[in-house]
Amino acid sequence: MCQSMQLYFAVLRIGLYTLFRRICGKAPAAPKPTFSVLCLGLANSGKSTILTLLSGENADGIRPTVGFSIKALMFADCFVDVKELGGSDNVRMYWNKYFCGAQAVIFVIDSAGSKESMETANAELHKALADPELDGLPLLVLGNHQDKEGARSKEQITKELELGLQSTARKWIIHTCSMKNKEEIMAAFQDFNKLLLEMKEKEEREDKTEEQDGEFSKI
Amino acid sequence: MLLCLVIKDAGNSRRDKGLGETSHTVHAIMAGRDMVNGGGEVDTFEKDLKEILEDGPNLNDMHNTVQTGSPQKIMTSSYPGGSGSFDNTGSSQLPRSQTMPPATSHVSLSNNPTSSNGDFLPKTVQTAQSKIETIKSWSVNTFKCTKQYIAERLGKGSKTVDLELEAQIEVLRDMQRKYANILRLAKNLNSHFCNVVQTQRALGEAFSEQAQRSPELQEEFSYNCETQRALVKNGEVLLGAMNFFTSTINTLCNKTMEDTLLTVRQYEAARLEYDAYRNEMEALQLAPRESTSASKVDGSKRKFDEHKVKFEKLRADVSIKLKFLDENRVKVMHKQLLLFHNAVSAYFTGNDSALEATLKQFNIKLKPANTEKPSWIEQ
Repeated sequence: MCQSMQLYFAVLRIGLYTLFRRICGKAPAAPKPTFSVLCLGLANSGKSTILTLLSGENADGIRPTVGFSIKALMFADCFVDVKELGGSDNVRMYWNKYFCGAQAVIFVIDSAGSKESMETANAELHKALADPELDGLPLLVLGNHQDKEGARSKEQITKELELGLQSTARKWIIHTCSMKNKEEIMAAFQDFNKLLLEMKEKEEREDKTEEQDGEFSKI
Repeated sequence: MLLCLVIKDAGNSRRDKGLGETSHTVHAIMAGRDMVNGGGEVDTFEKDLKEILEDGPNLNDMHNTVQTGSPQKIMTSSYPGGSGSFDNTGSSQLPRSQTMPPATSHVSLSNNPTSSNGDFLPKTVQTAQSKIETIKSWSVNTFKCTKQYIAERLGKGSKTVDLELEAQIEVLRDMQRKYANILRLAKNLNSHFCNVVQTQRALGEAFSEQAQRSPELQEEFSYNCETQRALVKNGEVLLGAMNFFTSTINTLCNKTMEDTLLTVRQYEAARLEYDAYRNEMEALQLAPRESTSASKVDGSKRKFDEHKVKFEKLRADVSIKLKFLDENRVKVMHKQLLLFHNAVSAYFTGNDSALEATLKQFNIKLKPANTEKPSWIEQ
Protein backbone atom coordinates (compact mmCIF):
# COMPACT_ATOMS: atom_id res chain seq x y z
CA MET A 1 0.00 0.00 0.00
CA CYS A 2 2.69 2.39 1.09
CA GLN A 3 4.84 1.49 -1.87
CA SER A 4 2.05 1.99 -4.35
CA MET A 5 1.35 5.36 -2.77
CA GLN A 6 4.98 6.29 -3.21
CA LEU A 7 4.83 5.26 -6.82
CA TYR A 8 1.68 7.24 -7.30
CA PHE A 9 3.26 10.33 -5.83
CA ALA A 10 6.33 9.90 -7.96
CA VAL A 11 4.24 9.75 -11.11
CA LEU A 12 2.31 12.78 -9.94
CA ARG A 13 5.48 14.70 -9.33
CA ILE A 14 6.89 13.88 -12.73
CA GLY A 15 3.62 14.93 -14.32
CA LEU A 16 3.55 18.20 -12.42
CA TYR A 17 7.14 18.89 -13.25
CA THR A 18 6.63 18.39 -16.97
CA LEU A 19 3.50 20.50 -16.83
CA PHE A 20 5.44 23.23 -15.10
CA ARG A 21 8.13 23.10 -17.73
CA ARG A 22 5.57 23.17 -20.48
CA ILE A 23 3.96 26.23 -18.94
CA CYS A 24 7.24 28.02 -18.54
CA GLY A 25 8.07 27.23 -22.13
CA LYS A 26 11.19 25.39 -21.20
CA ALA A 27 11.40 22.25 -23.20
CA PRO A 28 14.02 19.79 -22.03
CA ALA A 29 17.35 20.48 -23.64
CA ALA A 30 17.77 18.68 -26.91
CA PRO A 31 20.35 15.92 -26.76
CA LYS A 32 23.64 16.73 -28.37
CA PRO A 33 23.76 15.52 -31.93
CA THR A 34 26.16 12.74 -32.77
CA PHE A 35 27.99 12.62 -36.05
CA SER A 36 29.91 9.74 -37.47
CA VAL A 37 32.89 10.98 -39.36
CA LEU A 38 35.46 9.20 -41.46
CA CYS A 39 39.12 10.05 -41.03
CA LEU A 40 41.37 9.22 -43.95
CA GLY A 41 44.93 9.97 -44.89
CA LEU A 42 48.17 8.39 -45.94
CA ALA A 43 50.43 6.55 -43.53
CA ASN A 44 52.33 8.69 -41.06
CA SER A 45 50.23 11.77 -41.66
CA GLY A 46 49.31 11.82 -37.99
CA LYS A 47 45.66 10.82 -37.93
CA SER A 48 45.86 8.73 -34.77
CA THR A 49 47.97 11.31 -32.99
CA ILE A 50 45.54 14.12 -33.70
CA LEU A 51 42.61 12.07 -32.49
CA THR A 52 44.48 10.93 -29.41
CA LEU A 53 45.38 14.50 -28.59
CA LEU A 54 41.79 15.57 -29.02
CA SER A 55 40.47 12.88 -26.73
CA GLY A 56 42.96 14.01 -24.13
CA GLU A 57 45.05 10.89 -23.90
CA ASN A 58 48.74 10.48 -23.83
CA ALA A 59 49.97 10.69 -27.41
CA ASP A 60 53.27 8.96 -26.81
CA GLY A 61 54.04 5.61 -28.30
CA ILE A 62 51.37 5.58 -30.94
CA ARG A 63 52.01 2.97 -33.54
CA PRO A 64 50.64 3.00 -37.09
CA THR A 65 47.00 1.99 -37.19
CA VAL A 66 46.45 -1.31 -38.89
CA GLY A 67 42.86 -1.65 -39.89
CA PHE A 68 40.74 0.91 -38.15
CA SER A 69 39.85 2.40 -34.82
CA ILE A 70 36.87 4.36 -33.63
CA LYS A 71 37.22 7.23 -31.24
CA ALA A 72 34.37 9.11 -29.65
CA LEU A 73 35.26 12.78 -29.29
CA MET A 74 33.25 15.06 -27.06
CA PHE A 75 32.92 18.69 -27.97
CA ALA A 76 30.89 21.42 -26.37
CA ASP A 77 28.21 21.35 -29.06
CA CYS A 78 28.21 17.79 -30.33
CA PHE A 79 29.67 14.32 -30.16
CA VAL A 80 31.79 13.16 -33.04
CA ASP A 81 32.50 9.49 -33.56
CA VAL A 82 35.59 9.42 -35.68
CA LYS A 83 36.20 6.26 -37.62
CA GLU A 84 39.85 6.35 -38.43
CA LEU A 85 41.28 4.07 -41.09
CA GLY A 86 44.88 3.08 -41.42
CA GLY A 87 46.76 4.72 -44.23
CA SER A 88 49.21 2.08 -45.31
CA ASP A 89 48.96 0.61 -48.80
CA ASN A 90 47.48 -2.70 -47.73
CA VAL A 91 44.72 -1.03 -45.73
CA ARG A 92 43.89 1.64 -48.29
CA MET A 93 42.27 -0.85 -50.60
CA TYR A 94 39.70 -1.62 -47.91
CA TRP A 95 38.77 1.99 -47.24
CA ASN A 96 35.61 1.82 -49.27
CA LYS A 97 34.20 -0.88 -47.01
CA TYR A 98 33.90 1.66 -44.24
CA PHE A 99 32.35 4.50 -46.21
CA CYS A 100 28.80 3.43 -45.49
CA GLY A 101 27.04 5.60 -42.93
CA ALA A 102 29.60 8.37 -42.77
CA GLN A 103 28.31 11.90 -42.39
CA ALA A 104 31.50 13.78 -43.08
CA VAL A 105 35.10 13.21 -44.08
CA ILE A 106 38.38 14.33 -42.58
CA PHE A 107 41.46 14.01 -44.72
CA VAL A 108 44.81 14.40 -43.01
CA ILE A 109 47.96 15.02 -45.03
CA ASP A 110 51.60 15.47 -44.23
CA SER A 111 52.21 19.00 -45.44
CA ALA A 112 55.97 18.48 -45.34
CA GLY A 113 55.77 15.30 -47.38
CA SER A 114 57.48 14.67 -50.69
CA LYS A 115 55.93 15.55 -54.03
CA GLU A 116 55.10 11.90 -54.72
CA SER A 117 53.30 11.53 -51.44
CA MET A 118 51.24 14.61 -52.22
CA GLU A 119 50.35 13.13 -55.57
CA THR A 120 49.33 9.87 -53.95
CA ALA A 121 47.29 11.78 -51.40
CA ASN A 122 45.61 13.70 -54.18
CA ALA A 123 44.75 10.50 -56.05
CA GLU A 124 43.49 8.77 -52.91
CA LEU A 125 41.42 11.75 -51.81
CA HIS A 126 39.67 12.09 -55.13
CA LYS A 127 39.18 8.38 -55.43
CA ALA A 128 37.54 8.29 -52.02
CA LEU A 129 35.39 11.34 -52.69
CA ALA A 130 34.19 9.88 -55.96
CA ASP A 131 32.51 7.08 -54.04
CA PRO A 132 28.73 7.46 -54.13
CA GLU A 133 28.54 6.89 -50.37
CA LEU A 134 30.59 10.03 -49.75
CA ASP A 135 28.82 12.17 -52.30
CA GLY A 136 28.21 15.72 -51.12
CA LEU A 137 29.51 15.16 -47.60
CA PRO A 138 31.45 17.97 -45.95
CA LEU A 139 35.21 17.68 -46.00
CA LEU A 140 37.89 18.88 -43.64
CA VAL A 141 41.45 18.84 -44.92
CA LEU A 142 44.09 19.00 -42.21
CA GLY A 143 47.61 19.91 -43.24
CA ASN A 144 49.53 18.32 -40.43
CA HIS A 145 53.24 18.56 -39.52
CA GLN A 146 53.43 22.32 -39.90
CA ASP A 147 56.36 22.34 -37.51
CA LYS A 148 58.54 20.43 -39.93
CA GLU A 149 60.76 22.15 -42.43
CA GLY A 150 59.39 22.75 -45.89
CA ALA A 151 55.78 22.53 -44.79
CA ARG A 152 53.32 23.76 -47.38
CA SER A 153 50.89 26.55 -46.70
CA LYS A 154 47.13 26.29 -46.97
CA GLU A 155 47.13 27.74 -50.47
CA GLN A 156 49.79 25.35 -51.70
CA ILE A 157 47.92 22.38 -50.30
CA THR A 158 44.69 23.59 -51.86
CA LYS A 159 46.43 23.86 -55.19
CA GLU A 160 48.26 20.56 -55.02
CA LEU A 161 45.24 18.59 -53.87
CA GLU A 162 43.09 20.30 -56.51
CA LEU A 163 40.45 21.12 -53.95
CA GLY A 164 39.13 23.86 -56.20
CA LEU A 165 37.78 21.18 -58.49
CA GLN A 166 35.30 20.04 -55.88
CA SER A 167 31.72 20.52 -56.89
CA THR A 168 29.70 23.24 -55.24
CA ALA A 169 27.54 20.62 -53.55
CA ARG A 170 30.37 19.72 -51.18
CA LYS A 171 31.44 22.12 -48.51
CA TRP A 172 35.08 21.90 -47.59
CA ILE A 173 37.43 23.69 -45.26
CA ILE A 174 41.16 23.48 -44.90
CA HIS A 175 43.23 23.96 -41.75
CA THR A 176 46.85 23.57 -40.95
CA CYS A 177 48.08 22.22 -37.66
CA SER A 178 50.93 20.53 -35.90
CA MET A 179 51.06 17.95 -33.16
CA LYS A 180 52.59 20.40 -30.76
CA ASN A 181 49.81 22.92 -30.90
CA LYS A 182 46.53 21.55 -29.64
CA GLU A 183 44.73 24.86 -30.06
CA GLU A 184 45.12 24.74 -33.81
CA ILE A 185 43.60 21.29 -33.95
CA MET A 186 40.78 22.36 -31.69
CA ALA A 187 40.11 25.41 -33.85
CA ALA A 188 39.96 23.23 -36.95
CA PHE A 189 37.49 20.92 -35.31
CA GLN A 190 35.37 23.81 -34.01
CA ASP A 191 34.99 25.05 -37.58
CA PHE A 192 34.25 21.55 -38.73
CA ASN A 193 31.60 21.07 -36.05
CA LYS A 194 29.93 24.28 -37.13
CA LEU A 195 29.81 22.92 -40.65
CA LEU A 196 28.31 19.66 -39.41
CA LEU A 197 25.66 21.43 -37.36
CA GLU A 198 24.77 23.68 -40.27
CA MET A 199 24.43 20.67 -42.49
CA LYS A 200 22.15 19.00 -39.98
CA GLU A 201 19.95 22.07 -39.65
CA LYS A 202 19.72 22.38 -43.40
CA GLU A 203 18.71 18.76 -43.72
CA GLU A 204 16.02 19.20 -41.13
CA ARG A 205 14.73 22.27 -42.89
CA GLU A 206 14.67 20.44 -46.20
CA ASP A 207 12.76 17.60 -44.63
CA LYS A 208 10.19 20.04 -43.38
CA THR A 209 9.79 21.79 -46.71
CA GLU A 210 9.53 18.47 -48.44
CA GLU A 211 6.71 17.50 -46.16
CA GLN A 212 4.98 20.75 -46.91
CA ASP A 213 5.49 20.25 -50.62
CA GLY A 214 3.97 16.84 -50.28
CA GLU A 215 0.92 18.34 -48.64
CA PHE A 216 0.60 20.96 -51.35
CA SER A 217 0.74 18.43 -54.10
CA LYS A 218 -1.94 16.44 -52.34
CA ILE A 219 -4.19 19.46 -52.31
CA MET B 1 -14.02 5.15 -63.08
CA LEU B 2 -17.11 5.32 -65.20
CA LEU B 3 -15.92 8.57 -66.67
CA CYS B 4 -12.60 7.06 -67.42
CA LEU B 5 -14.16 4.17 -69.26
CA VAL B 6 -16.42 6.42 -71.25
CA ILE B 7 -13.53 8.58 -72.25
CA LYS B 8 -11.52 5.59 -73.20
CA ASP B 9 -14.40 4.54 -75.34
CA ALA B 10 -14.51 7.95 -76.81
CA GLY B 11 -10.87 7.76 -77.72
CA ASN B 12 -11.30 4.42 -79.38
CA SER B 13 -14.29 5.43 -81.35
CA ARG B 14 -12.52 8.54 -82.45
CA ARG B 15 -9.69 6.52 -83.78
CA ASP B 16 -12.07 4.21 -85.54
CA LYS B 17 -14.76 6.41 -86.96
CA GLY B 18 -13.78 10.01 -86.67
CA LEU B 19 -15.03 12.92 -84.68
CA GLY B 20 -18.75 12.57 -85.07
CA GLU B 21 -19.35 9.75 -82.65
CA THR B 22 -17.05 11.20 -80.07
CA SER B 23 -19.05 14.34 -79.88
CA HIS B 24 -22.11 12.23 -79.27
CA THR B 25 -20.61 10.49 -76.30
CA VAL B 26 -19.37 13.72 -74.92
CA HIS B 27 -22.79 15.18 -75.41
CA ALA B 28 -24.12 12.35 -73.39
CA ILE B 29 -21.80 13.22 -70.59
CA MET B 30 -22.75 16.84 -70.94
CA ALA B 31 -26.39 16.06 -70.74
CA GLY B 32 -25.82 14.05 -67.59
CA ARG B 33 -23.82 16.84 -66.10
CA ASP B 34 -26.40 19.42 -67.06
CA MET B 35 -29.08 17.50 -65.29
CA VAL B 36 -26.95 17.32 -62.23
CA ASN B 37 -26.20 21.00 -62.32
CA GLY B 38 -29.80 21.79 -62.86
CA GLY B 39 -29.00 24.50 -65.39
CA GLY B 40 -27.11 24.98 -68.60
CA GLU B 41 -24.36 27.16 -67.17
CA VAL B 42 -21.61 26.33 -69.53
CA ASP B 43 -18.81 27.99 -67.67
CA THR B 44 -19.36 26.24 -64.40
CA PHE B 45 -19.91 23.00 -66.12
CA GLU B 46 -16.75 23.46 -68.09
CA LYS B 47 -14.90 24.16 -64.92
CA ASP B 48 -16.37 21.13 -63.25
CA LEU B 49 -15.50 18.84 -66.05
CA LYS B 50 -12.05 20.31 -66.27
CA GLU B 51 -11.56 19.85 -62.59
CA ILE B 52 -12.51 16.26 -62.94
CA LEU B 53 -10.25 15.84 -65.91
CA GLU B 54 -7.41 17.69 -64.30
CA ASP B 55 -7.59 15.49 -61.29
CA GLY B 56 -4.55 14.08 -62.89
CA PRO B 57 -2.95 11.53 -60.62
CA ASN B 58 -6.26 10.03 -59.67
CA LEU B 59 -7.43 9.43 -63.16
CA ASN B 60 -4.05 8.37 -64.14
CA ASP B 61 -3.70 5.94 -61.28
CA MET B 62 -6.89 4.28 -62.23
CA HIS B 63 -5.81 4.17 -65.76
CA ASN B 64 -2.51 2.66 -64.86
CA THR B 65 -4.03 0.00 -62.74
CA VAL B 66 -6.69 -0.78 -65.25
CA GLN B 67 -4.76 -1.06 -68.43
CA THR B 68 -1.04 -1.04 -68.03
CA GLY B 69 0.51 -2.32 -71.14
CA SER B 70 -2.75 -2.70 -73.02
CA PRO B 71 -2.57 -1.62 -76.65
CA GLN B 72 -5.49 0.82 -76.35
CA LYS B 73 -3.46 3.96 -76.19
CA ILE B 74 -3.95 6.95 -78.37
CA MET B 75 -0.92 7.48 -80.49
CA THR B 76 -1.39 11.07 -81.57
CA SER B 77 -0.24 13.15 -78.70
CA SER B 78 -0.06 16.89 -78.95
CA TYR B 79 1.11 17.22 -75.34
CA PRO B 80 4.77 16.59 -74.84
CA GLY B 81 5.47 14.06 -72.21
CA GLY B 82 1.84 13.38 -71.48
CA SER B 83 0.88 9.80 -70.86
CA GLY B 84 -1.64 7.91 -72.90
CA SER B 85 -4.40 8.30 -70.41
CA PHE B 86 -4.24 12.02 -70.44
CA ASP B 87 -4.16 12.19 -74.17
CA ASN B 88 -7.44 10.41 -74.09
CA THR B 89 -8.97 13.05 -71.91
CA GLY B 90 -7.38 15.75 -73.99
CA SER B 91 -8.83 14.38 -77.18
CA SER B 92 -12.23 14.18 -75.62
CA GLN B 93 -11.86 17.79 -74.62
CA LEU B 94 -11.23 18.99 -78.14
CA PRO B 95 -14.47 17.80 -79.71
CA ARG B 96 -16.37 19.14 -76.78
CA SER B 97 -15.10 22.60 -77.43
CA GLN B 98 -16.16 22.20 -81.03
CA THR B 99 -19.70 21.32 -80.12
CA MET B 100 -20.03 24.07 -77.58
CA PRO B 101 -22.43 26.91 -78.25
CA PRO B 102 -20.38 29.91 -79.30
CA ALA B 103 -19.22 32.02 -76.42
CA THR B 104 -17.05 35.07 -76.41
CA SER B 105 -14.29 33.63 -74.33
CA HIS B 106 -14.71 30.25 -75.90
CA VAL B 107 -11.36 29.85 -77.62
CA SER B 108 -9.24 31.25 -74.88
CA LEU B 109 -11.03 29.19 -72.28
CA SER B 110 -10.54 25.96 -74.06
CA ASN B 111 -7.03 26.64 -75.23
CA ASN B 112 -5.42 28.05 -72.18
CA PRO B 113 -6.18 25.22 -69.81
CA THR B 114 -5.06 22.65 -72.32
CA SER B 115 -1.76 24.39 -72.82
CA SER B 116 -1.35 24.74 -69.10
CA ASN B 117 -2.24 21.10 -68.86
CA GLY B 118 0.55 20.35 -71.24
CA ASP B 119 3.03 22.24 -69.11
CA PHE B 120 1.79 21.26 -65.74
CA LEU B 121 0.59 17.74 -65.87
CA PRO B 122 3.51 15.74 -67.18
CA LYS B 123 5.41 16.63 -64.04
CA THR B 124 2.76 15.35 -61.66
CA VAL B 125 2.07 12.44 -63.92
CA GLN B 126 5.72 11.54 -63.95
CA THR B 127 6.14 11.89 -60.21
CA ALA B 128 3.02 9.88 -59.66
CA GLN B 129 4.24 7.25 -62.04
CA SER B 130 7.66 7.08 -60.47
CA LYS B 131 6.06 6.89 -57.04
CA ILE B 132 3.84 4.08 -58.20
CA GLU B 133 6.81 2.36 -59.71
CA THR B 134 8.82 2.57 -56.50
CA ILE B 135 5.88 1.43 -54.42
CA LYS B 136 5.30 -1.43 -56.81
CA SER B 137 8.88 -2.61 -56.84
CA TRP B 138 9.14 -2.17 -53.10
CA SER B 139 6.04 -4.19 -52.44
CA VAL B 140 7.11 -6.92 -54.84
CA ASN B 141 10.49 -7.04 -53.18
CA THR B 142 9.03 -7.06 -49.69
CA PHE B 143 6.58 -9.73 -50.62
CA LYS B 144 9.28 -11.96 -52.02
CA CYS B 145 11.54 -11.44 -49.05
CA THR B 146 8.75 -12.08 -46.58
CA LYS B 147 7.81 -15.23 -48.43
CA GLN B 148 11.39 -16.40 -48.34
CA TYR B 149 11.71 -15.50 -44.68
CA ILE B 150 8.60 -17.43 -43.73
CA ALA B 151 9.66 -20.37 -45.85
CA GLU B 152 13.02 -20.39 -44.12
CA ARG B 153 11.43 -20.13 -40.72
CA LEU B 154 9.18 -23.04 -41.48
CA GLY B 155 12.17 -24.97 -42.72
CA LYS B 156 10.95 -25.28 -46.28
CA GLY B 157 12.96 -22.86 -48.38
CA SER B 158 16.54 -23.45 -49.33
CA LYS B 159 19.01 -21.08 -47.76
CA THR B 160 22.52 -20.02 -48.59
CA VAL B 161 24.75 -20.57 -45.61
CA ASP B 162 28.35 -19.52 -45.37
CA LEU B 163 29.26 -21.67 -42.42
CA GLU B 164 32.52 -20.00 -41.61
CA LEU B 165 31.18 -16.50 -41.82
CA GLU B 166 28.01 -17.31 -39.91
CA ALA B 167 30.07 -18.83 -37.16
CA GLN B 168 32.24 -15.74 -37.00
CA ILE B 169 29.19 -13.51 -36.87
CA GLU B 170 27.72 -15.59 -34.10
CA VAL B 171 30.98 -15.32 -32.18
CA LEU B 172 30.95 -11.57 -32.67
CA ARG B 173 27.39 -11.25 -31.39
CA ASP B 174 28.20 -13.36 -28.40
CA MET B 175 31.28 -11.30 -27.77
CA GLN B 176 29.33 -8.09 -27.91
CA ARG B 177 26.95 -9.46 -25.31
CA LYS B 178 29.83 -10.47 -23.07
CA TYR B 179 31.52 -7.13 -23.45
CA ALA B 180 28.29 -5.35 -22.72
CA ASN B 181 28.11 -7.35 -19.51
CA ILE B 182 31.68 -6.40 -18.63
CA LEU B 183 30.83 -2.82 -19.37
CA ARG B 184 27.79 -2.95 -17.11
CA LEU B 185 29.79 -4.43 -14.27
CA ALA B 186 32.60 -1.95 -14.70
CA LYS B 187 30.11 0.91 -14.66
CA ASN B 188 28.57 -0.47 -11.49
CA LEU B 189 31.95 -0.76 -9.86
CA ASN B 190 32.76 2.72 -11.00
CA SER B 191 29.68 4.25 -9.44
CA HIS B 192 30.14 2.31 -6.21
CA PHE B 193 33.73 3.33 -6.00
CA CYS B 194 32.81 6.93 -6.68
CA ASN B 195 30.50 6.76 -3.67
CA VAL B 196 33.25 5.18 -1.57
CA VAL B 197 35.67 7.94 -2.42
CA GLN B 198 33.11 10.60 -1.58
CA THR B 199 32.37 8.95 1.74
CA GLN B 200 36.06 8.72 2.51
CA ARG B 201 36.48 12.39 1.78
CA ALA B 202 33.60 13.31 4.08
CA LEU B 203 34.97 11.01 6.77
CA GLY B 204 38.41 12.58 6.50
CA GLU B 205 36.91 16.02 6.94
CA ALA B 206 34.92 14.90 9.95
CA PHE B 207 38.07 13.42 11.48
CA SER B 208 40.06 16.56 10.97
CA GLU B 209 37.28 18.61 12.56
CA GLN B 210 37.27 16.35 15.58
CA ALA B 211 41.05 16.45 15.76
CA GLN B 212 40.85 20.20 16.24
CA ARG B 213 38.01 20.06 18.73
CA SER B 214 39.17 17.34 21.09
CA PRO B 215 42.81 17.81 22.15
CA GLU B 216 43.00 14.47 23.99
CA LEU B 217 42.32 12.46 20.80
CA GLN B 218 43.94 14.92 18.44
CA GLU B 219 46.72 12.66 17.24
CA GLU B 220 44.50 9.65 16.64
CA PHE B 221 41.99 11.71 14.73
CA SER B 222 44.63 13.34 12.64
CA TYR B 223 46.18 9.96 11.73
CA ASN B 224 42.83 8.74 10.55
CA CYS B 225 42.23 11.94 8.71
CA GLU B 226 45.51 11.58 6.88
CA THR B 227 44.82 7.95 6.03
CA GLN B 228 41.45 8.87 4.59
CA ARG B 229 42.94 11.71 2.61
CA ALA B 230 45.60 9.44 1.17
CA LEU B 231 42.87 6.98 0.26
CA VAL B 232 40.89 9.71 -1.45
CA LYS B 233 43.91 10.86 -3.39
CA ASN B 234 44.72 7.40 -4.64
CA GLY B 235 41.07 6.66 -5.18
CA GLU B 236 40.66 9.59 -7.49
CA VAL B 237 43.51 8.35 -9.64
CA LEU B 238 41.92 4.93 -9.79
CA LEU B 239 38.58 6.50 -10.55
CA GLY B 240 40.07 8.35 -13.50
CA ALA B 241 41.57 5.13 -14.81
CA MET B 242 38.27 3.34 -14.38
CA ASN B 243 36.41 6.08 -16.21
CA PHE B 244 38.78 5.79 -19.09
CA PHE B 245 38.40 2.03 -19.10
CA THR B 246 34.61 2.17 -19.17
CA SER B 247 34.47 4.86 -21.84
CA THR B 248 36.83 2.94 -24.09
CA ILE B 249 34.90 -0.29 -23.63
CA ASN B 250 31.75 1.64 -24.32
CA THR B 251 33.22 2.87 -27.59
CA LEU B 252 34.40 -0.61 -28.48
CA CYS B 253 31.13 -2.26 -27.63
CA ASN B 254 28.61 0.29 -28.82
CA LYS B 255 30.41 1.94 -31.68
CA THR B 256 33.10 -0.27 -33.14
CA MET B 257 31.28 -3.57 -32.84
CA GLU B 258 28.01 -1.92 -33.77
CA ASP B 259 29.57 -0.63 -36.95
CA THR B 260 30.48 -4.13 -38.02
CA LEU B 261 27.15 -5.50 -36.90
CA LEU B 262 25.43 -2.91 -39.06
CA THR B 263 27.22 -4.34 -42.06
CA VAL B 264 26.31 -7.81 -40.86
CA ARG B 265 22.66 -6.82 -40.78
CA GLN B 266 22.89 -5.43 -44.28
CA TYR B 267 24.58 -8.64 -45.33
CA GLU B 268 21.79 -10.71 -43.87
CA ALA B 269 19.15 -8.63 -45.60
CA ALA B 270 21.05 -8.97 -48.87
CA ARG B 271 21.30 -12.71 -48.28
CA LEU B 272 17.55 -12.97 -47.86
CA GLU B 273 16.92 -11.03 -51.07
CA TYR B 274 19.46 -13.07 -52.90
CA ASP B 275 17.85 -16.30 -51.79
CA ALA B 276 14.40 -15.03 -52.63
CA TYR B 277 15.41 -14.18 -56.18
CA ARG B 278 17.40 -17.35 -56.53
CA ASN B 279 14.43 -19.48 -55.54
CA GLU B 280 12.17 -17.56 -57.85
CA MET B 281 14.55 -18.01 -60.74
CA GLU B 282 14.91 -21.70 -60.06
CA ALA B 283 11.17 -22.12 -59.91
CA LEU B 284 10.77 -20.31 -63.21
CA GLN B 285 13.44 -22.36 -64.87
CA LEU B 286 11.81 -25.57 -63.75
CA ALA B 287 8.44 -24.46 -65.06
CA PRO B 288 7.40 -25.54 -68.58
CA ARG B 289 8.91 -23.41 -71.28
CA GLU B 290 6.65 -21.00 -73.08
CA SER B 291 7.17 -17.89 -75.07
CA THR B 292 5.97 -15.63 -72.25
CA SER B 293 8.00 -17.34 -69.58
CA ALA B 294 11.27 -16.89 -71.47
CA SER B 295 11.24 -13.15 -70.91
CA LYS B 296 10.23 -13.71 -67.30
CA VAL B 297 13.13 -16.08 -66.80
CA ASP B 298 15.46 -13.53 -68.33
CA GLY B 299 14.11 -10.80 -66.09
CA SER B 300 14.42 -12.88 -62.97
CA LYS B 301 17.92 -13.93 -64.02
CA ARG B 302 18.91 -10.31 -64.38
CA LYS B 303 17.48 -9.43 -60.97
CA PHE B 304 19.13 -12.45 -59.48
CA ASP B 305 22.48 -11.34 -60.89
CA GLU B 306 22.00 -7.86 -59.48
CA HIS B 307 21.31 -9.22 -56.04
CA LYS B 308 24.11 -11.71 -56.35
CA VAL B 309 26.60 -8.93 -56.99
CA LYS B 310 25.28 -6.99 -54.00
CA PHE B 311 25.37 -10.07 -51.83
CA GLU B 312 28.91 -11.00 -52.80
CA LYS B 313 30.08 -7.46 -52.17
CA LEU B 314 28.54 -7.37 -48.73
CA ARG B 315 29.95 -10.76 -47.92
CA ALA B 316 33.45 -9.58 -48.75
CA ASP B 317 32.81 -6.44 -46.71
CA VAL B 318 31.71 -8.43 -43.71
CA SER B 319 34.63 -10.81 -43.76
CA ILE B 320 37.14 -7.97 -44.04
CA LYS B 321 35.43 -5.92 -41.38
CA LEU B 322 35.38 -8.89 -39.05
CA LYS B 323 39.11 -9.33 -39.45
CA PHE B 324 39.86 -5.70 -38.83
CA LEU B 325 37.48 -5.62 -35.90
CA ASP B 326 39.24 -8.54 -34.33
CA GLU B 327 42.60 -6.83 -34.63
CA ASN B 328 41.23 -3.59 -33.31
CA ARG B 329 39.54 -5.30 -30.39
CA VAL B 330 42.69 -7.15 -29.40
CA LYS B 331 44.74 -4.00 -29.59
CA VAL B 332 42.31 -1.85 -27.65
CA MET B 333 41.61 -4.46 -25.02
CA HIS B 334 45.28 -5.24 -24.56
CA LYS B 335 45.96 -1.62 -23.76
CA GLN B 336 42.89 -1.16 -21.60
CA LEU B 337 43.30 -4.33 -19.58
CA LEU B 338 46.90 -3.50 -18.87
CA LEU B 339 45.90 -0.04 -17.75
CA PHE B 340 43.10 -1.34 -15.59
CA HIS B 341 45.28 -3.95 -13.96
CA ASN B 342 48.06 -1.47 -13.29
CA ALA B 343 45.69 1.07 -11.85
CA VAL B 344 43.93 -1.38 -9.59
CA SER B 345 47.11 -3.04 -8.36
CA ALA B 346 48.83 0.30 -7.87
CA TYR B 347 45.88 1.56 -5.88
CA PHE B 348 45.77 -1.40 -3.56
CA THR B 349 49.49 -1.98 -3.19
CA GLY B 350 50.13 1.75 -2.84
CA ASN B 351 47.46 2.06 -0.23
CA ASP B 352 48.72 -1.06 1.40
CA SER B 353 52.15 0.36 2.00
CA ALA B 354 50.70 3.69 3.06
CA LEU B 355 48.29 1.89 5.34
CA GLU B 356 51.04 -0.21 6.84
CA ALA B 357 53.21 2.82 7.32
CA THR B 358 50.45 4.69 9.10
CA LEU B 359 49.55 1.64 11.17
CA LYS B 360 53.13 1.26 12.26
CA GLN B 361 53.27 4.87 13.18
CA PHE B 362 50.02 4.52 14.99
CA ASN B 363 51.13 1.42 16.92
CA ILE B 364 54.36 2.93 17.99
CA LYS B 365 52.84 6.11 19.18
CA LEU B 366 49.79 4.53 20.69
CA LYS B 367 51.55 2.90 23.59
CA PRO B 368 53.27 5.96 24.93
CA ALA B 369 49.98 7.79 24.68
CA ASN B 370 48.36 5.14 26.85
CA THR B 371 51.20 4.92 29.34
CA GLU B 372 51.38 8.65 29.76
CA LYS B 373 47.86 8.99 30.92
CA PRO B 374 46.29 6.16 32.90
CA SER B 375 42.54 5.92 32.92
CA TRP B 376 40.68 7.90 35.52
CA ILE B 377 39.33 4.61 36.95
CA GLU B 378 42.85 3.46 37.70
CA GLN B 379 43.71 6.59 39.53
